[in-house]
Amino acid sequence: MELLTALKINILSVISLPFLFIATVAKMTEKALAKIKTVFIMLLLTVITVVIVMISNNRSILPDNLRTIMIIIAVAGVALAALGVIFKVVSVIYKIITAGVRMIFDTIYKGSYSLYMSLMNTAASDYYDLCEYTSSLITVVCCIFYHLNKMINVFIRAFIRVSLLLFVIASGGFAYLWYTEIAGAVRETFGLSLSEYLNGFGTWSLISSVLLFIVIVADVAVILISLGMEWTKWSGELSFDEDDQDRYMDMLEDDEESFETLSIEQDDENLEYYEIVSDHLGGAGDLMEEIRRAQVIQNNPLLENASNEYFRSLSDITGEISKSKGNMDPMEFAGLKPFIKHLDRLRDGLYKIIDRQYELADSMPGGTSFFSGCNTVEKLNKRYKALCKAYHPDNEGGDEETFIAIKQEYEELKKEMEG
Amino acid sequence: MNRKVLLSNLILVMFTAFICLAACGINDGNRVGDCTLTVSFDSVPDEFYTLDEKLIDSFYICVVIENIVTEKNYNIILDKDNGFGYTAYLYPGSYHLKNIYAYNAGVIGVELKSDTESFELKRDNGQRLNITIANKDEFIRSSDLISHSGEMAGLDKFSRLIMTGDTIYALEDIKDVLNLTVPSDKTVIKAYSKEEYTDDAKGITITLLNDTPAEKEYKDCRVIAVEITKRNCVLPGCVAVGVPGEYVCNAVTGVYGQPHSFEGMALYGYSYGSTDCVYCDANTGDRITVSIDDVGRFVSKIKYEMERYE
Repeated sequence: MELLTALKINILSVISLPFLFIATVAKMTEKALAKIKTVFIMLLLTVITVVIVMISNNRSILPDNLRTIMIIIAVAGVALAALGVIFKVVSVIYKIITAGVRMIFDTIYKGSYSLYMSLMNTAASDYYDLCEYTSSLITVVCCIFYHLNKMINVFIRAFIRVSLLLFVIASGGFAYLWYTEIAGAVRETFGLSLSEYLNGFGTWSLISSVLLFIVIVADVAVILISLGMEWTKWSGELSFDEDDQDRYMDMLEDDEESFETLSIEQDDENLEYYEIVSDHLGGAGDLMEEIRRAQVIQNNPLLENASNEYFRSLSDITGEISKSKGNMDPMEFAGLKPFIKHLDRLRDGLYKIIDRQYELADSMPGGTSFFSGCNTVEKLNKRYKALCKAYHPDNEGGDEETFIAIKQEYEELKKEMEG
Repeated sequence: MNRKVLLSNLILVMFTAFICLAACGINDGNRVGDCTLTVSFDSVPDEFYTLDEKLIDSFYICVVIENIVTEKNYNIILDKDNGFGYTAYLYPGSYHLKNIYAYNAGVIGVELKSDTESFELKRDNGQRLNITIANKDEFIRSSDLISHSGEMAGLDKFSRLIMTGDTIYALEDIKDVLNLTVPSDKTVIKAYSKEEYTDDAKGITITLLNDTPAEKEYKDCRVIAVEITKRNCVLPGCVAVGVPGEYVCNAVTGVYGQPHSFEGMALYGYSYGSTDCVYCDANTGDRITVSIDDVGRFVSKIKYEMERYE
């Protein structure tokens, strides 16, 4: 029976893995699409430089009489004006297309990631059931794909987090490799050092070639670094650690202080939405505590992600309202309605994930205990530390009665394990 | 998550995965049907494989065939990596050979031809398309030329001599042995003017100068520059198109030594244009420009200019 459960866990872990990859690739693509404008600008810059370099190396193609030059300038002026109009039209079309494509990728990401988390949560639930009957080492060996999956998840998140650093190194590496490749080819063919070789060129030819080298290196560096910045920013959205929690709570507290009654008369519907925002703002503290407690059970990336999205959206909306100091134009307020609606959906989703965390806790060895799933002294100590942070009476949102119960249970379990 | 959402997500993800897989699968435009067409570069003389390795690496043949009914083109590439042979899987039907391109064919000195111009592809009967060298004898002779040009080895690079066939000519006299293409408006060169004339078969372009105040028949004008783009003549030092760049222009080991200056693209070896090595003779004013291919690093063009004084 245990063997079948282990098999099920492994199968679920293997099946869920492609969804993790699809989700990651979709989100990375969606973020990369946000930087496509930079890519186009840099490519355009490269093309212009290549043209300049080509002309500089074949100056015989340039006209040598003033009349022809004037005609070329006039034609170029008209062409530039036409290009400007085309650019305006294309940029509008570009915005519509990229927004649509990004939305598709975002939907793929959300769908895949939800599926991945659902499958992995089921696997985790079974895994903790299994832990009740077998020693931890055997469970780890039997559920090797489960652990492998978790490792890959950690690895991907770590990669995204350090992507900016990696791309900075890659850009430097690209420039260095290219330089050494040219130097090597020159040494092999001409038997000269790079400086001796470059000294042999005319000034203009040398400047244009060096310019092309710099532009291409800068091109690669700008594209990679801007992509790295986008991905690293996303990695920040994926996590929701204590610092993020404190930051959001501070922001929301500031907003709450300056969140005044709307002085300009609003219609009933606007007022209804205003109440919804007030309700969200009022309940933010309690929700944050719920999240902290749910995270203590088991670190859940989906919960981190959803929490981040919810609190970011909430602070954006409350920030907008607070900024107006009550003088918000009814039309402007109406523009916030879709976001407020979305806020409701986000909170519902968050509560569902939190419920799932508690269900998971129930299935862990030890059932509904604060220390369910802790089968070693190390795990027990770690959980105790986390619970102290969440429930200590001196801390905000702490509860003395719960804290005493936690302490008692911890001491009993520790004695049991050590004895 | 309710089942409906789960199912719709699953379908969405499966659809995306299918699109991705399908996109990955479409990677070969020549694998569309079940009829085989084997294209190969055949009857290649041994001399071809004695060419410089970099020259062979950069040489490839592109065979373009067209389905007569659908008018769809298929490009088949033959190169060193596929051993100059390739089997395409196409739909049944009538096809004809639209074109044969070859990169660096001029430098190597080969002209290509096919044994058939059109063919029928059937399911039960695979077809072969053989590409061969049209000027095989000439190619073999030009290969021998460099190996038998010992008498050119010890000559000074500015000695104004050129070897083509088995004979050494003075550069000034080369126009007499060339079969030049002369457009009707260029039979006469205007006063104090110069014109270029090409012998396509030999890959030689000459510049003729009329330095008199009257019009002159092109045959009576003086040769001031010779440009070689094919591998069928040898310059002093056994320098020819197609030899490795380092053989000619290396500062230490090259037969012409360190160039006096460079022109063209300084980003050497990166497909941005060839690098030209320039040699000048202060006494005669002669100038030799040796162009080195940007990727293959072999000599792709040689230009000898007389009395240029620059």
